[in-house]
Amino acid sequence: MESLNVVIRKLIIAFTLLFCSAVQAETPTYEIRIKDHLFLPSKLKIPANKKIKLLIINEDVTPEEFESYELNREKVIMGNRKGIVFIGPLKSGVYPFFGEFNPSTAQGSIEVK
Amino acid sequence: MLVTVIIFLREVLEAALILSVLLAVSFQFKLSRKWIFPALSIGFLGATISAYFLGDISNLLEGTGQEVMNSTLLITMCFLINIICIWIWQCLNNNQAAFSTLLAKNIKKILILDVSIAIMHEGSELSIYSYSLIQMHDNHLSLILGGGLGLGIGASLGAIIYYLLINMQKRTLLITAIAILILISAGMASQAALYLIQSGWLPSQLPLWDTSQIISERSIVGQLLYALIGYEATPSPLQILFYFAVIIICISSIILTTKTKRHN
Repeated sequence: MESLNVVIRKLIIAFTLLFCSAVQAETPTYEIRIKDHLFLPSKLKIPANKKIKLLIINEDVTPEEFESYELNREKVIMGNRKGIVFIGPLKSGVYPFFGEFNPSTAQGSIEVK
Repeated sequence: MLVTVIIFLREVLEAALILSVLLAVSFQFKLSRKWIFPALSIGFLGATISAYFLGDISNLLEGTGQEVMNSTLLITMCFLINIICIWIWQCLNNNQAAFSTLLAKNIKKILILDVSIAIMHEGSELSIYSYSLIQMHDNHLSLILGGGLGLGIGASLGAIIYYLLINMQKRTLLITAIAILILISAGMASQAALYLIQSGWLPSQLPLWDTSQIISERSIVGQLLYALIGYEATPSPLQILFYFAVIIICISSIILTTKTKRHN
């Protein structure tokens, strides 16, 4: 049982280190605003094979869900709040995203180059 | 209105699937199905409360509160589903076990907890979406019609699965139920990994493969497969790891617990 405890302890330490490195890593930030159910900018260029941080600021009073099948991301951002979403590393290409609550207007894409 | 139908259906589908499988299992064991009432009430209450506080929850842990909460709920459900599978397997091999063991005595609480977490997880987004439609004033009709239709289709699919299951032979029903439950919980684990990657808690990696040309996640088949087996067109290696880890843990825990029973 003692050895099991040691293993568990080591695992906890390993995971903590992994988490800390993942959170603290310096990643470039890109901003997207939501206003009148539109994404601004609706087209964003990011570098290929790099992890980036998207800061999504919802300036509407209504909530919106940032969603993308191609990026495998979904996040609800309440009215007048902001949210962060990490994306990448990605291969070059165009990755569309949309606002699930207002998909007729809230459309955009990320071009990875 | 179509958007409303799709949003409701997408969220309802998985909860309806879990609910119908667990109801069918309860029916087979002649267990009272009244646990559904507390499960639904606690689930709806939880969904409303978490929706109300979502803005504040999201701000926790440097803006990753929403993802950490979702992945915690998903992993908790994996754990509960694993226990339920062990119980079903024990009952399958020993009829008395359905009522007499310690696990069997607490099974209703576990069923209630599992279903209420499923409803809370899926329902919180629906409450937020409904609230946003109400805020936009002119969309009451679309909410009522679209939401009703989405809920109705989801519930009907659940009912079809329920009746298909209860008309099966006992052994087939229980093994099918275990298989569906294990696949659902593997999908949940992969989803939990995704939330942790999205929020930066786990490292991001390039997807392992891309099957979006064969089955798109946007298609109806893609959506159904997502609810049933957690289908992703471009999964990351960590998602695959979580997925198969849950399947292996679940199957081996079922085998291990039956073996110790026989030695006794």
